[in-house]
Amino acid sequence: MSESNKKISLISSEGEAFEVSEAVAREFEIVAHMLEDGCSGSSIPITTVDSNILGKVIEYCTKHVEVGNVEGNSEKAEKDLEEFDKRFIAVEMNTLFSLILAANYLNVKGLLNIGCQKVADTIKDMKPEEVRSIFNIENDYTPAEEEVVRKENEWAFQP
Amino acid sequence: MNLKISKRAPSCQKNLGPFILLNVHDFRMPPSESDEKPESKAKCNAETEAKLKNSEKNVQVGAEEGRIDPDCQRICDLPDDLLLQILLHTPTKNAVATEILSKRWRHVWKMLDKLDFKDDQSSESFGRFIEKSLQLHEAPKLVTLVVELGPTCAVDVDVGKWVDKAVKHGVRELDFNLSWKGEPTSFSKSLYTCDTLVTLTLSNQILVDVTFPATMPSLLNLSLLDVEYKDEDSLARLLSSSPVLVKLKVARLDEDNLTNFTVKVPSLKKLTYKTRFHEEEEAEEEEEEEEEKEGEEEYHIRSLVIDCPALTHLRIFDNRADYCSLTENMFCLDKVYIPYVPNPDEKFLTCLSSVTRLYLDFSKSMVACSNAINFSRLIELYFTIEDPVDWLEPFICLLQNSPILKALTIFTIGCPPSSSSWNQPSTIPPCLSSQLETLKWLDYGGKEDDKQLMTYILANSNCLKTVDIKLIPTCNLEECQKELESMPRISPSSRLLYSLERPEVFRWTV
Repeated sequence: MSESNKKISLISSEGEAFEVSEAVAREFEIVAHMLEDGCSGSSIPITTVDSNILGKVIEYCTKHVEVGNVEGNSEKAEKDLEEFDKRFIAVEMNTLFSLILAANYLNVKGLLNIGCQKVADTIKDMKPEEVRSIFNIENDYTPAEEEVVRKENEWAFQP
Repeated sequence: MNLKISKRAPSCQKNLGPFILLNVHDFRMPPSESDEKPESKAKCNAETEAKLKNSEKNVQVGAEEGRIDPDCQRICDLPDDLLLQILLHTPTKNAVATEILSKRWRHVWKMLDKLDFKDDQSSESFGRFIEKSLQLHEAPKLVTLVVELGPTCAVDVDVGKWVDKAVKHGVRELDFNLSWKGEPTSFSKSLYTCDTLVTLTLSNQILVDVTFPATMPSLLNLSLLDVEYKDEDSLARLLSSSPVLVKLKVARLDEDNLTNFTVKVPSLKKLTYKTRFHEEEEAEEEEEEEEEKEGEEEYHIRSLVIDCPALTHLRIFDNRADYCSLTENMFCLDKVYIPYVPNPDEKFLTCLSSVTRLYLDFSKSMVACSNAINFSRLIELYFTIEDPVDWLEPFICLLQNSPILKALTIFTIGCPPSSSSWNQPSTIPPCLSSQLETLKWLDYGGKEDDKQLMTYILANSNCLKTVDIKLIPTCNLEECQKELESMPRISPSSRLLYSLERPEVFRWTV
């Protein structure tokens, strides 16, 4: 039981320390692997992730660990968690991409999943022009090249 | 004794939640194990881990990676494997369409290892789109291929080639649903000898034609939904293709060329079998035709034989009244769901005697074959009566032979009030005197039969904790309540819950 009470400090790129329980830190698979490999460090700098994003990732993991620990996990708890995820991921695009990168890097699968799903849902029913403008994508096709691509797979571009 | 009475179930549940033990969900299976593919791991993890090994304190995670600056993030800053992850969450059609965004995007979707083509717009050219996409697709692996062609889709494409491509690229999950106007398609040997395939689903206009030994050594899940069969041998070869097949789902057409459907799979754990008349779906369309044909068509009886000694879950819904027979070697049965099996052989229930949870429609033919079977492991019984049948005494007999039954649900909707009086058994069923904890009655109507049985159960069930009664809408709640409360209860701690709710829809998936 002592293990679950152990605290670990995660240090953001700005040097800010976030103290979390080991269970929460283990939600970061990259940290879990380190701990399993015998790394006994009590503070772990995460130099690629800033305080804002690291704080959010920790918030996500804490909630999921909490719900996971409730005994006799009911459908209601699952629904609550779904609601939490939905609210959690409703952020503006820059934050969303940062969360995806951080989740991928720290290997937090659940978060990576909902992040990718959120972007996918945004793309889904949009015209290419809209997608380009929302995601700041530069169209580097010449008009002739674009026409070739469009012709190549006409069906996919029908509304 | 604590009595809480309420007209509506939700508030009931709020106040006395813990006492409602038998919930429809208890009968539901857990969701099927998905064949999770290993997530692509952040490529830096391995390197970082290596660097960090043996380090003691203040280890650096990703010190050499570029900082992630939230102020200038764009989607194009994500590496290709993350763009792929995103595209995996969209329908393949949308993923392909991203190739128009920019030169970089032109090639991203081509590395998807999961393609899901669903014809949700009833497009005639959808087949050609799939063909083209599969030609352009470049990923070394194609783990999942889902193809769904609707009735408006032109039939001028060769779906066999798509299957071949998937097989060549190590496919693990293949789902082909051909609802188009084409003739039933048969697939080549490459499919039925694919050694990577784990899940195979074939639906509608497909002909199972296997004239050679089939070998699919990794196949765990097989679904054959409304397909046709070349012959019984084709089915037998397909079913014996995998030594590890655990899950089989069959939905049969009224006419699929087979008279006998034999499931002989030593490894099989879960089986769902469903039949229907084709009129059911197309009744309206064909009404006139049917009238003309009336009396002309002969009804031919088919049969189902199940010989699966490792079976744990069985579900049969047989609308066509095939002759169903089982073998007596099924000792691992856990959940059995047989809401409609009108034509069982005389040993049918005997073969199910090892079951622990049973949903049983007590039809005439089931009553006839229910005599003196010892359900020695039965813990949970969901008992329903769809057709009028004299059920009380055979039912008590069933209880007599289920010594460890803990939860009982009764649903007698199709049963008319009994006119004959009921002879109580000379000995009390042992499950009542020492086991039964939960009784749930989904449509209690206060009929003579109902009253007798309720009185008997309440008077003899020593361990009863919860009695959850849903009254039918025509009941007078107060009267029924009074009547029920006046029935002597032997278990001092039992609680009665009432509600005038319509019964919940019963769901059960295998």
